[in-house]
Amino acid sequence: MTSQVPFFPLAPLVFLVAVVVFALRMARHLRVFAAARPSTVTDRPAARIRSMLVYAIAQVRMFREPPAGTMHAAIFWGFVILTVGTANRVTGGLVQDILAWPLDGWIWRVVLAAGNLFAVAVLVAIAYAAFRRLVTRPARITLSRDAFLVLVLIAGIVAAELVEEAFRLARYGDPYAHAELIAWPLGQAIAAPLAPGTQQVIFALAWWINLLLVSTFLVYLPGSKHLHVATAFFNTAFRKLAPRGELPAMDLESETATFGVRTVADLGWKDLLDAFTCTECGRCQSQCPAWATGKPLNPKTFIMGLRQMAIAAEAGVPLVPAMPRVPWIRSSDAPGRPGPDGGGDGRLATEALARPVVDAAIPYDAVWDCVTCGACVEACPVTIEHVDKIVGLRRNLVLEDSRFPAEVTAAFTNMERHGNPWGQPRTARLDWAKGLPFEVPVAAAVAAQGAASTPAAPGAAGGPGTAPGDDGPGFDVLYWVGCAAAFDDRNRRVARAVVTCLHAAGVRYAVLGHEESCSGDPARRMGNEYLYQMLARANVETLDRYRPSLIITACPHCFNTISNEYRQFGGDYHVMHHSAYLAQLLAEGRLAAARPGVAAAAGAPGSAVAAGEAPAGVSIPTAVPEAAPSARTVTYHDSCYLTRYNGVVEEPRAVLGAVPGLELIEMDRHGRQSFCCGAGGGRMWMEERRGIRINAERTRQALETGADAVATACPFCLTMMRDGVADAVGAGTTSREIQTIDIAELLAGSLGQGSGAPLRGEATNPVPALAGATEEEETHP
Amino acid sequence: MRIVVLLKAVPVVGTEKMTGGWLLDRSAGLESNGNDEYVLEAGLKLVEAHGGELVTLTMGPSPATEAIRKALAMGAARAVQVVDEALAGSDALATGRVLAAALQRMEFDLALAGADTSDGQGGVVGAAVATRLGLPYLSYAAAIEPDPAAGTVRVRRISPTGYDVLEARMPALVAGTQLLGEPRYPSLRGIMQARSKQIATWSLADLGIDPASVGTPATWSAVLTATPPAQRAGATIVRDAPEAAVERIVEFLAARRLI
Repeated sequence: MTSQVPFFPLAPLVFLVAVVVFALRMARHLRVFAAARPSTVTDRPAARIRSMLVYAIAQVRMFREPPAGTMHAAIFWGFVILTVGTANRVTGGLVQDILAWPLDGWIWRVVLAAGNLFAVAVLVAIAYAAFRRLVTRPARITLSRDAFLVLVLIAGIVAAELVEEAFRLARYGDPYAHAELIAWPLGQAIAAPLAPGTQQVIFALAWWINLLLVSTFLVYLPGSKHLHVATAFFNTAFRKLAPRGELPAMDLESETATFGVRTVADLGWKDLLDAFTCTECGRCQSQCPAWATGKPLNPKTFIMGLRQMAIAAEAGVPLVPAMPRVPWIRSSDAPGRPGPDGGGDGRLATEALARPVVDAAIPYDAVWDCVTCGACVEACPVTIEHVDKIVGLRRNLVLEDSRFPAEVTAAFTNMERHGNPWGQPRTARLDWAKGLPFEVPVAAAVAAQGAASTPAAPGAAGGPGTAPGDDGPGFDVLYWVGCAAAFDDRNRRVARAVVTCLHAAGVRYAVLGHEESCSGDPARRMGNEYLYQMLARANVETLDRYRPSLIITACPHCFNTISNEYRQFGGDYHVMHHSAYLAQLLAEGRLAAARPGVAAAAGAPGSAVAAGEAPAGVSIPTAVPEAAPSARTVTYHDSCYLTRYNGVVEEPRAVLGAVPGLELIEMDRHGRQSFCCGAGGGRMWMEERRGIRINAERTRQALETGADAVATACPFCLTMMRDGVADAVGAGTTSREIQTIDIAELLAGSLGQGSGAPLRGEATNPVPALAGATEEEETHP
Repeated sequence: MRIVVLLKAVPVVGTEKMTGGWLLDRSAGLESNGNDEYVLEAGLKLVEAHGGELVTLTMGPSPATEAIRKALAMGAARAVQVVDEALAGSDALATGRVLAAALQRMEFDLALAGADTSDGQGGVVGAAVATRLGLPYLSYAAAIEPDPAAGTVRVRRISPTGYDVLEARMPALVAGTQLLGEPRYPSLRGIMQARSKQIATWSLADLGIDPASVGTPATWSAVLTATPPAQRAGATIVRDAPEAAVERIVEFLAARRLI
């Protein structure tokens, strides 16, 4: 083969030069990495290898959009198989010699056949990619010169290879010619009729064009968005393996450190690897609720901006590093030239490195537009972490500059002084439980009672929830109420519904009452790590006093931070979201829904009872106001901190499924692809001035289903969806005043006679399963 | 500019508790008085603009330190705290006397005080201090504009009919209102720096004040009884669109013959 290619000995040399330039350019990127903070990437090697196989090799996330996924897989596998051919050419046939040796050359035949087929697949895929960029133009893809050049290069490489092979086979023949399923017939069709001299020239030209394009590609790659072909393997292997809902720990006692992220150097090097892995596919952008509602936040341009900043920082570094000066060789052109660390050339551009990320890679407003919903992180095929970086920026703005939207001050101060963002007095923490037909046990009282009664009269009828010889806190389950359910009127009804279910199931539970405090989640997500740590440490201290074997909460934000983040402060707890716990009670048969949880209109099939449940005593609940609209279809709005952050997808649906006569209609965006209500990441406490309101968009999606009610499993979601529906009705965009209701309310409203305590006292029904959303007035104490 | 801010540590609003003798419990959970934070913010801005130093002056028991630390975290250079057991139960008159004595030992161009405090709500201590020291007293300030070169200060004073512009020579005492602007939220950097800032503690002996002339025994008035206010009746929240909401609010008020 080498004899067929003119100037062949130059080929490996050209390729080698390309490889060296590639390596030098990559090394220059690494200089910025070295200036960044350390990242932990070596723990759990097995999980990391698995991650790489799943995301980089199998590319599972690419197939969420099947046409794009298939296109990408064709190019990827084509690239892999064609690399074998490239290696073979550059080495003058060495690869063929090795691969053709065993099994009578069949391995080589398979490689050739696959290479030929994939070459066509790649060309088709490239055509499709170009078609999308030029004709259909999905919003998420930007048509850049870079993108176009990469497409042209790949197409050129593959086409040149096919042409080269076709003419080579036609001119010189090859014992494996028939394995080249495309090049062989192609050669017969177009090359064979030509004169051997012409064949020879075209072959040589195509051969060299192919090699030069491959070399150009290598040289070009490190400065291109297409660099992901090299970095994606590492990025997926080095991804965050800690729970996604666990923000990085932070040492606030350090006197010298920069708090949070100010410059690219304050990022971990893995964050920079993220930036160099971004292929600008825009899947994050297309999932982002802030971007979808016209806000300046674009997760894609943020990551691209970080890359630009890193590249700006390395601009001063020469491609060829300065050699250490050897005393006896004097370089005439650079007398006394400073070494790599002597200042001047060879160093990272300090100005660029000191440039704040905010208002360079991302506008200030956009930093605060983020709802930390994690849709971008969930969408990214190469596991880029956007949210942690944005919170890092917020940390710096808050902790160092006290720079944040003015309205946040009140929330911070309220959490600080009163232990809740609403600024309600701690003494009002149990007001939600007033007027319930049963008493809600408070942990301190239960523990005190247990301590008093257990030694004195073990086993006496006395203390509720104190089992003889029980060394525990005197209860099995600690119900963490959360500030929203303790202070917000609408959400107080959810707390009442939760304890109604617990009471009905005979669960030995308790609440912390006045000892409870804000979990700190909003503070942490808004960047106020100092306040968060203060609250978290105090809560860990409180919880450790009782050492509950199980904590349940109806707030996904409390749930996430207590179960995933409190371990940073020594708090290791088993926490379940109320949806999961209620689903478990239902599965165990401790709770039985026996009547429609939502008002059944007269004549509605009130006997539609979940299979297997005793239908005895089914009646239309008189507790339900007659005028209330019937809700027999419900759509469920997933909370981000349940689905994406903690994988709680099926449990709330199981609870809904247990409510007789209820039909679930899913929105397009549900489960892990859910669309945020707009209140995450502390947005609950910020004004939404830019773009349309996120809850308005989500409400539109909910209304589109035609369901009678929106079920939620998060106090913030409930508030946002309720307001969204009220706004939509007020604005006249809908005439249907659909209900917004927590799954616990639906379940509590449907509890049958068989379950412990049926709801009594219609006038003061603690769980007006319906009244919730339709009521326009609320009374504040 | 040398500025002294009179800063009081008060029980967290809404959590006030009474001790036996109808005194507010100041043993724990004190925060800086809200109105004082507005003048502190105004003072910090003045120092940022004109240079100089801002010092806080507090009369209060040791738990007041936490509130003082916050002021230091916000940017005060140092603090003076007058602490003496004999001060417990002091009335406004005694407080004015103590603060005036302390202020006399400090150098300043402007002394700033909040319009009143959330616990006592007398709103007279600032005036008392100014009177004792013979300082110009400019109250209800919505803006403070000193002219260091001329040695004067101009204040925009809220009045029932609008505002007055007052001018006085410095040193002067200005009592400010919330209109001065939202106090800043201390940064972590500020909180850490505050840890090493000096809080000088002065006793009555340091100020040359006879302990018998202040505190509960020397009060001119006595609290006979105190009760928390009755719970407010329920509030009605209307969540309708503006047009409908207006209608309902009008209806609500009309039904009560209020309009």
